[in-house]
Amino acid sequence: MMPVRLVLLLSHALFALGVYGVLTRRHAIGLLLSIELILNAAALNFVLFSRAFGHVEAQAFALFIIALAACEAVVGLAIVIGLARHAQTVFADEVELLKG
Amino acid sequence: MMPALLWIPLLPLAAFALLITCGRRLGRFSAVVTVAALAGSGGATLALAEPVFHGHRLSVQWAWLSLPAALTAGQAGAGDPRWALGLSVDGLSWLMLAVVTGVGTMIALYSTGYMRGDPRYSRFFAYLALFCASMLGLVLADHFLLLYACWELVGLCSYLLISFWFERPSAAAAGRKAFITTRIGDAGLLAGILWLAWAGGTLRFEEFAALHGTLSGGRLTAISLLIFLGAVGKSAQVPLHVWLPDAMEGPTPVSALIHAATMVAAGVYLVARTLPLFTPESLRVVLAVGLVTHLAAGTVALTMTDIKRVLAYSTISQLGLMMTALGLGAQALAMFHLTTHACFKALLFLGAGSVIHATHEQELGRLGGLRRAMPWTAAVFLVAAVSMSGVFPLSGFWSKDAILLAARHGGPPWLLGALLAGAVVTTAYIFRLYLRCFHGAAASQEGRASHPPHESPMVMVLPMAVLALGAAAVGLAGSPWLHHPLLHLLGVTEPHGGIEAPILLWSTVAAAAGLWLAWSVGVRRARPLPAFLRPLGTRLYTLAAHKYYVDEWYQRVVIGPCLSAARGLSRFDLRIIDGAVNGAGRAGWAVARWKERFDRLVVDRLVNGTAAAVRATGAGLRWIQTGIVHQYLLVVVVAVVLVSLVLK
Repeated sequence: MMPVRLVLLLSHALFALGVYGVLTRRHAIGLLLSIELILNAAALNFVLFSRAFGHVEAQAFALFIIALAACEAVVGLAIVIGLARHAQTVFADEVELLKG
Repeated sequence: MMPALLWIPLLPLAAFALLITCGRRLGRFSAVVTVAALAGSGGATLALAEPVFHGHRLSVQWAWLSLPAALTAGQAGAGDPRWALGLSVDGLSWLMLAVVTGVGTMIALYSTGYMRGDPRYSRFFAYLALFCASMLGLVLADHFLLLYACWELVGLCSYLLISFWFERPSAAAAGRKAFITTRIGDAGLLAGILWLAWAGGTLRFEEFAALHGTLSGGRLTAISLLIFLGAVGKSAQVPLHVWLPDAMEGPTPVSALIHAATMVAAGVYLVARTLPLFTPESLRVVLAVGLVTHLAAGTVALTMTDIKRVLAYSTISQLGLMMTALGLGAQALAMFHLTTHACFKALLFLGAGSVIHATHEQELGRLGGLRRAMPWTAAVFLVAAVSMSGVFPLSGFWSKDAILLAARHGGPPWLLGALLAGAVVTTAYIFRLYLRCFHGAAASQEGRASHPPHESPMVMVLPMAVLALGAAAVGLAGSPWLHHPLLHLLGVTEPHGGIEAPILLWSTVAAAAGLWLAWSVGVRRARPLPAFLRPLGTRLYTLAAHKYYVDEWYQRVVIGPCLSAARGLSRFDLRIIDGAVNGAGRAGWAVARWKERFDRLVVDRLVNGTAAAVRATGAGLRWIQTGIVHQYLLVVVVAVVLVSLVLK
């Protein structure tokens, strides 16, 4: 019997860690990694509640999230490479292409 | 096969159509066309002579208008013959036909010589043909409408021919004057015709006699006087006579044909034709107008110094004599005098034209002694003058004496005296003209050496000779010697028999007195009046020489006020109407300017202001969009945290 509270704590910690990373990492790849943490926190929650309430369907969402994360990593890395070629940098705070 | 009747007006009309369309190409040949057409009409007239002299009446008719039954309800019914127009010949119109075609042919022939070298040679003959066609139509018409149409056409031709040399301002003015003056009479005629159609219900000449039963006397008098007004205009009777002397601005053959022999006689013909409509009261008016015209124009003719003007006033005077005869109810005598007058007056005009052609001069003071240079012209002129004076046994004698006889038997006693005085005046002015032109010393010769007066060419002398024959002999057709065939033709069954010795005596005395006056006063400038009467004589002379101031009176009473009224109206137009139009334009412009300012200041500013507000808002909010990812993410996180706190 897995203590639900404990696992919830873990997943929250992972999520907070991810948000912190997103807000503080300057490196674009660091940003991607932090987003990976957030996604995994969400997947962990799905799995946890699936076990706790006996809903097997929720585990399918965990699989979706893994697939989604893979896609996201592909697109994110492509953007990073494009950014490096275009702006000669991979630091997110040195690029302000979206400035109005 | 068309009846001969139709050929009479159609031949000259065809000639006109041909000449007006391709006259320029025909050149000299155009004269031949007109002369041939007129001669053809004359031939057709002669062909009709036999039945007409037997008292038959020939006619051709066609339905012109058939009124719908609703309009004719209560009257004779639809398909009513009263609106069938047609041509018809009886004695009266046959005589006019003979005069128009006979004199017309001679004058057209004469014009081939007179108009030689004129730049509008064929145009002249086209107008002449149109004139003859409409005059013949006028004479042949058996319906008042057709007559009126031809009447106006004749007036138009008169206008065109008077101002034929329209380069001269005086000719153009004369044409205008003639047209406008006769138009006044025509308005009366038209009113008379309309009234007659409305009140009497018929416009056919043959039905006029029956109207006496159906129409009241007063109404008939008014209608006949309106018709007479048309005749006054066309026949140049007082007070509408002023146009005829000025009409002498036209070429002389025109004066001879239109303004002496035929067109001006149309008024006499009209009155003779409609005489059944005239009541005793209106006949009295006709008589008075005719007599006043006869005497007044005769005395003016005594004082004129222009050959053609003398003849013009003489024509007015003789037309007055015809009107006098009509006023006596003697329709046949008026037409008889019309016929003889056409011959001798056309001849006088042609003679005058011959003189003008030879000398380029028409002032009596600068003419004289032409008898030797122009023997033929002098001879025919003398014949015409003698005939006009009424000397036994030339044409003028028979017709004038017949009128004197009628005046003696049918008129008040003073009428005979007045007519005899008129005869004295007639002889006096015509012999004054003859003697001063052809006798006496040849007048001042300066400029004459370059072209001495010469006899006119054969083509001009020949028609004059033919007309001289007519002037001498036509009257015999109405004389008791031949038992009045002409008067029988005109429907007089019982003409006054024989020559009355007193009338013969009186008219001979009148002619002699006139001749003596012409010789002593007109040529030798004697002063027959005793000294105490001379101032009066001089005053009378001045009065006549100024044509009784009729023109001046018209100028002051009619033309002046008309002109000032027109000027006033023109000023009204310029000031008020134009002012209103321009004011409307200016007001529209002002409104447009005001609206333009509104557009610029209000509408445009609203639109631009909206755009500026949007732009300012965008500029104000620009700083939010930094483009730095971390800031965006921070906003997202803070917002989520806040939202979750609120929704807790």
